[in-house]
Amino acid sequence: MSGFRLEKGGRIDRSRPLSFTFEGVSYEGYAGDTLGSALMANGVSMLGRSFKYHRPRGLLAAGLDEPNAIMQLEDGAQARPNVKATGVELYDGLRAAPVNAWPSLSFDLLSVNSMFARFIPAAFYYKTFMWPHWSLFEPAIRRAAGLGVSPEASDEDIYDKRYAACDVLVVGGGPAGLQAAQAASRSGARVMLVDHDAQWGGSLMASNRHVGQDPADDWIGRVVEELRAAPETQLLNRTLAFGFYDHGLVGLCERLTDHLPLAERSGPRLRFWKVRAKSVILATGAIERPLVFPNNDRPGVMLAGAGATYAARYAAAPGRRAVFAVNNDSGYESAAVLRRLGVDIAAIADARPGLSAKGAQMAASGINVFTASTITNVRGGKKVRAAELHKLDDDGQAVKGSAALVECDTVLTSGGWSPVVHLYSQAGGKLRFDEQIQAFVPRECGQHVLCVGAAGGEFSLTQGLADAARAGAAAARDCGFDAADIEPATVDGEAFGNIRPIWQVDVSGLAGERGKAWLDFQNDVTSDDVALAIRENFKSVEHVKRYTTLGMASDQGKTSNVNGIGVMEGALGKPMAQVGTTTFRPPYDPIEIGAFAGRRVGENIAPLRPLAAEDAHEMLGARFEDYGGWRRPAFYAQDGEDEHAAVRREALAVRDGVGLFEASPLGKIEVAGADAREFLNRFYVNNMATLKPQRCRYGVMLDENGVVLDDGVLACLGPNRYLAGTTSGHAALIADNMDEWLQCEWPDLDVVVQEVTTNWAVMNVNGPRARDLLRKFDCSIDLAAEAFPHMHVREGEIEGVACRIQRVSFSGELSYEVAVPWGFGASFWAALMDAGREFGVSPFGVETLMALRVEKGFLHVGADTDGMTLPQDIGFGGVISRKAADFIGRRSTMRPDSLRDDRRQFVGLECLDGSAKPLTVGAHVLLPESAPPALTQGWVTSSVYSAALGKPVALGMVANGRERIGEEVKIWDRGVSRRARISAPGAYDPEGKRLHV
Amino acid sequence: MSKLERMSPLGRGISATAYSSEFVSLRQQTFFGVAKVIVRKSDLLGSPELEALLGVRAPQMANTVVQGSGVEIAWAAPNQWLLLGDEAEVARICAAAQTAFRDETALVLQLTHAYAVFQIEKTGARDVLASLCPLDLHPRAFAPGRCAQSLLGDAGVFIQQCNEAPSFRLMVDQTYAGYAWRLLSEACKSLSSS
Repeated sequence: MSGFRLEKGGRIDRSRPLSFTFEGVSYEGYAGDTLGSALMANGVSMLGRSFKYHRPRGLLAAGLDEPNAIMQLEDGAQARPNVKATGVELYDGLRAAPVNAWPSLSFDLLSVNSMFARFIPAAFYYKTFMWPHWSLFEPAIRRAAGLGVSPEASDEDIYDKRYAACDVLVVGGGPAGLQAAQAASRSGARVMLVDHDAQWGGSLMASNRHVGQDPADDWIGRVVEELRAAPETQLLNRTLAFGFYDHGLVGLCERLTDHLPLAERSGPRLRFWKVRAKSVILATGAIERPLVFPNNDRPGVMLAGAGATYAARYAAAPGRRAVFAVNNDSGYESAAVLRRLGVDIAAIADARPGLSAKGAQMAASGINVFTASTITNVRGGKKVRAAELHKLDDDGQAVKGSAALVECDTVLTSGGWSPVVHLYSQAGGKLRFDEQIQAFVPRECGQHVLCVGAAGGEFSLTQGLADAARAGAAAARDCGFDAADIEPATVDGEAFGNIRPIWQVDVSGLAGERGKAWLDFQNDVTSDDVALAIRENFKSVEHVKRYTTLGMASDQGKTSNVNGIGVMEGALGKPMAQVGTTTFRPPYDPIEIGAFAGRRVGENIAPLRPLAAEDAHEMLGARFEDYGGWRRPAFYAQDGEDEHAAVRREALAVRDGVGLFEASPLGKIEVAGADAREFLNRFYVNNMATLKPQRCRYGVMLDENGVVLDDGVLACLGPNRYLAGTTSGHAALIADNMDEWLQCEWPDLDVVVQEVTTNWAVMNVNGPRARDLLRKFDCSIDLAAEAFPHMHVREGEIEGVACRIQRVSFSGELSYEVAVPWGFGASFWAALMDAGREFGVSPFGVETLMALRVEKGFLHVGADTDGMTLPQDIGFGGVISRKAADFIGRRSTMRPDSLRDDRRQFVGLECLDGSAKPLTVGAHVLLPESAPPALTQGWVTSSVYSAALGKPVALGMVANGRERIGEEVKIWDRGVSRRARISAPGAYDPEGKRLHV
Repeated sequence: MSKLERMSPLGRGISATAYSSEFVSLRQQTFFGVAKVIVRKSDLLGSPELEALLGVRAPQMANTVVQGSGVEIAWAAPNQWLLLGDEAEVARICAAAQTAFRDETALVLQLTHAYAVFQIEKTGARDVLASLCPLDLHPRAFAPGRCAQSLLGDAGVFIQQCNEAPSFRLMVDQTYAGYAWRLLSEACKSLSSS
């Protein structure tokens, strides 16, 4: 137990105690705590086990850079795996558990892994678990190396989404962000300021600095108040800017209820923002780097700045006696904070040879400051007992015999600071290595984005605020606002000093075994692993990352990447600037997938489009299916029928009497203009130039590769006026294609096009009694066979409502497709059902229509055809050869491959085994004597039981099929063979007599 | 045989479906007349004949709406306009335009049945739309007299600002009426409860 609660101070509310549990043990914290600070205040130093070696781990950081304190929160539907204790605001009743430890943190069985650490370095798995197959080992390894557990219950939370646009988006509510937002906001520009923290102030919250003459808090309060009052400025706290995309698009995740006790939560949990900003200012600060030395992962070894933050902001001290190891002046500031709050500073080891001003100040106040010294080991297992310090020679090697052992319960290190350039880099920004601060800093970016303050590599607060004020005003001016420069605030008592880069403490000259030095705490990657990867010739930073998994954990290497690059510098012998960084990718911190789904859940994921008479279908017992985004009846089950029984009954009703089918989704595209005929003739394989008014013609459309794209009926409504019919799923695609060809390829054609699919509901009256049924209606169109023959179209009125009737048939029976304005569709359906009662009218669904068309041998594009089917494969070779004019895809029908005579062709397949069971769709067509599995000749594409014929019927695509009609074949379906004969498609009414009645 | 009855996109009957709170009101505008005019030659809409019919010249600037005599005319795409207003009035103008354009390459189509039309109003209207539509509807970016085509959730939407209150007209394909209603009414309730 090292950490403890300071008796006073901090930004916690001591009047609001909160109870919570960790690993089943109850603790108390205060409002304003994070889970991390509350655990520290309760003296809990071990918060997790490491990913691979299961080593005990404690807090390293105080923010989202934390790699160790990975938690599982709550359970059931509210379970949240893999959250960082440092990013969780404490609430009453919170239940947390560590991940990757079993049966408990203190007694973890897999901690034996650490004893074998030397045998399981980077890529050990790749090398070892190869034979016989990785998948045999994977389950056990996944269990051993793991993070939290995904919730098993479905997520009950709701997630909101918000689009926003602004002139200036400022990311980061620390001093620089506040200053930049203030400058931009005063111009009247639309400004957004966001910070993932609940409170504004950033690094100022953990200092006792003054801004100008006032305590920092006063300045923060004044600026926030001013921004809140500005009508066009929006402040979002608890909001993480996690991704920067093209064209100024920034993704934000606002946490709306995560800070509340479970019982008090209501409404959306998260809100996902998509912000379009004309200009972005990144004031995202910097992340402190740990020093890399043996056993630097022991619980109690922390970042110096984090130690100060815990003490100053949360009144949680990391220990009672601290040793500092630093290579820059910021560590002294942290030491001063802790000392002021009562922590004993046992020693400060400064890697730099001489005393800096800050160091001298500290030494003068009685603190042991060792110059040209650093930490070389930590004593203690589950907590720190002592720190071993050594002198460093000029090359940075620890000098044998210079050891000093200092008792302490916490070690605080500072290896310098890395600007948070993640968003800048995601925006496409390029970085450069700054020798002065030994860090990667922003260089140039194609987007309107600027980093200010520490994020821009400016570690002087006063200078950072001046830059921020200028940047804020300039960003507003770039957006067209008359922004005056404002007087920036100044900050007292700051220092960073120079830095001595010690990327890895060199202990090679010291006696004794010292253990490994960790770079990536979360993924358990040591400096030895990086050295090994380089020895094995992985020399690119991207390769080393993937081979060792350095920086690939959920913290994305925030505390480890730059140190890793530093170690690579030493191993490769080339400067860090040349080693370069790996790619920064969103999200900056993990975002729940629910935030992206938003309200796209349940019936709103892919909303199905209803038919005009949906209610009636529902009442008739329709079993609905998704057909190309439409919610359509597959069939109507009566009295407990299954699908087969219902389809048989409905099909017979159509063949013997009359059926009613809602065909509203059929695509309808109006085409008009002097060149409409020419245009359409180029669109279809078929010759449409000869289509006369009031007539319809079936046609096939191809893509440019000659592949069958769609089919449908083209109706000529009058001179230069056509209605193109498409399949239900392709209406928008074909309409878009038409627009594209007109706009891009044939702008000379005098044609206009408009899709009108959903303006017209279509009822298909189908069967020998169809005419009798329609005659029950008051219709201005003469339905007599000779007045209105097959493949004709008429426009008129039915029951006083405009209608279009096409006499077309997909069933092979007398059939009318009657279109009325959509709003009348439901009523028209009801009237047809009503009037049809005397004819025994039966509603029928899509599956029944499919059965009817298979009986007739009618092609269904997408079922019988695939992405390789050419028109000649489906019997349109003659149509093409007779058509002189060019059409889309024609060229491609003449390629050598298109002209092969063994192409698969559309044929019928007749079962010869006497079974009533239809062939399986997808079953292979083989030569009768072949021993399957054998080279396929083709396959079954459609297959049903024909009630009208009393036997199964099928269609298929078979190599050179048309030449082979009458030939017997073997149909092979996963081990079962059946006999069949190739036939012409269309076993029912092959002469088509029933169509022309 | 009785006359056929008409149903609005949101369901049976001609009753409007509505939601209203202190911050936002939402209603379906039933049987609102919509027609589309597409011409091949852009000067056709500027013809004196048509101008006389509409009472105003069709807007030439993208994404703008003008008030004509009886109907509003909204720019929809190059050489494409929507006529919006009272159904009978839209039908009357359509018939006249069809006659006027008889010999031209043009489509004058009544699409009243193809659209579901919603009106959303009051101070919270922008907030509701900001949760569903990526357009920037801030008064500095969008104003009465402006229209645009965008997304409402995953469905295409035509959006028009009718006044400064503000009031917006939303038109989606009628087959997405239920979807749009679910999204809009949920967002309205969310806004009112927060």
